Amino acid sequence: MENLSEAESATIEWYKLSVELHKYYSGKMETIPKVPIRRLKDFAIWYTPGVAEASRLISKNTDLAFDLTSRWNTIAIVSDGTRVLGLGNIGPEGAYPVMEGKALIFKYLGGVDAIALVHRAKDPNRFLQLLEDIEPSFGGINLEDIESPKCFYILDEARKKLKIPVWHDDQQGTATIILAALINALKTVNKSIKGSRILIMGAGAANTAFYRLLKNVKPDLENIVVLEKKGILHPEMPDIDKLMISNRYQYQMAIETKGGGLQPNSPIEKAFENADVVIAASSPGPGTIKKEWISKMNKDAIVFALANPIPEIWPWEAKEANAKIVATGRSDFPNQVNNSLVFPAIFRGVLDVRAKTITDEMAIAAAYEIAKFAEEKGLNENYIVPTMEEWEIYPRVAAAVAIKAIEQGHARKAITYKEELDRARKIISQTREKISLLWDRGYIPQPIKDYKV
Amino acid sequence: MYDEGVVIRKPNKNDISALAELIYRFYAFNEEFDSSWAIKPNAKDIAMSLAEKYIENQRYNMFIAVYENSIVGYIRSEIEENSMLINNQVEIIKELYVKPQIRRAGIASLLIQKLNEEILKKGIKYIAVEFPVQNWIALDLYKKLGFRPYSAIYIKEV
Repeated sequence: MENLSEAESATIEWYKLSVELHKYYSGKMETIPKVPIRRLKDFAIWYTPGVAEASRLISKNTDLAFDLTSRWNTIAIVSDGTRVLGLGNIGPEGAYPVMEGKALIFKYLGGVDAIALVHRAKDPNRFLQLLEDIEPSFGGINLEDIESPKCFYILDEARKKLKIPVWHDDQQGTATIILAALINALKTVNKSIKGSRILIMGAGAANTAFYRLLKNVKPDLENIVVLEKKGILHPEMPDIDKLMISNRYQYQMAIETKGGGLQPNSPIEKAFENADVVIAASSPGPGTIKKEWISKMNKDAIVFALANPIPEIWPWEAKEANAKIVATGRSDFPNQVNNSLVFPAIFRGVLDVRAKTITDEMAIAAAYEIAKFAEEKGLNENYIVPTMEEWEIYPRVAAAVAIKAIEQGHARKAITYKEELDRARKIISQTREKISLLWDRGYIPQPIKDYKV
Repeated sequence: MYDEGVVIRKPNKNDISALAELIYRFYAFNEEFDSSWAIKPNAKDIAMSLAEKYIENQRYNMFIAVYENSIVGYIRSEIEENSMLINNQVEIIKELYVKPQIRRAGIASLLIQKLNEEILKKGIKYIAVEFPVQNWIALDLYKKLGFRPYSAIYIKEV
């Protein structure tokens, strides 16, 4: 796909097909029982009078809910619709199809039951209160499509207040897969994280979270430059004090990186000069990143252009400008940096050990496992992360994360790496088999329109 | 932790433009906390003349914090008199600013401490500070340093 308008018109075709099929199937998920219903008398077990005993036991020890109900494997995908994909603030109803799609991926790739929970509590404290109030129903919370900077506050506070894992995939999922891809990209060109100069372009949810993870593995913060629309984040930038109030996270980055050692108010070109890596998660392109800027980077430049749906620069343009390794968020280019490699697997792992939280170290463990998996297959400039079809990655990451949770003392249940690997494999493959069964028997009808495979 | 490298002293003519920058920043920052504190478009120029005035006139009490040859913070205070009271003089901190990259290193405390020492010599018993009510950062700092609520100023548009 070397042509600009070809790529854009392909996207429009996807939009048309998708709306027709969303209507045809009337949504993507339905709830189906997993217990025997042989005759109506079975309801005496699942409902009254039998269920009263399960309720009584749980009321005495609330952790039993994880054993006696499906809470252990059920998460809520929570959004107020204030920053949905590239569409912006479209509200909860508009967010629903996206959340339902996320639930589909959680189930198919991770065997996790997820329900879409879109709501009107936009105020950060009301949002937090909502999460605290619904905690008893779920084994975990996945926050999604929430505007920044309030999303950082909500995530940080919810992680403190709730005793179930809370994860903001736009932040942490993206950060984790970026880290995994970066580890391998640098390995491919014989560079390492420490000592390489990294330009972070765009300080929204994804890159703010990526910076937080990066700090754990890169001590030389002065080799990080953070570039925002307003300029390089620098302690001497104009209105730095206002930034402290309006976006505390960007303020922190400015202070900690010291503008990457550049002068305040340096032009964009300076940020690219001598950079080994640019991680762009900013405005969709094309043209957000200019070819001339890439040419100013060091030899064997690594460019991650992650904006959705159009990357900041087309991969072929970046390569023409001497980038060695290019990654985007799209499946039609090599090196797709895709959260879907992360969130289903992380939740599989934490739910299986009934973890109370997902820590940064657990996300880093996931990143290293993903990187290792791809390395075992053999790295090259067009393969730095596994593709979503490499099914074995999900149980591997689940196991790595489960072990880390146990190691850090956040797990309610213990398991070995091998046990979790087997368990995750089993849960995920059985889920796939059930879906296949419904498809084969015609309970999931053929689509009325389709794309070319 | 910066105790060793930091010098707290009175500003002189050579410090005018660096000080002007900090004065401007103090006001630009506090603008965020109260709409009545909105600053003029030419605030930077005014800050320059204020810096000159403060340095020349002994009546204005000022200290600056210097670290590695640059001015990283300042404090300005004024005396409030009330002849009816036994404690007829209170020193009021009007402005205090420390550069972002060197915050949380105790510089504000050092500036206040130096001020304390000076006013003790003058026989003044109380030190106070004035700042917009919404400035929770200032509130946290001064509470930590042992200040207590003292007087209330309420404001309204006429």
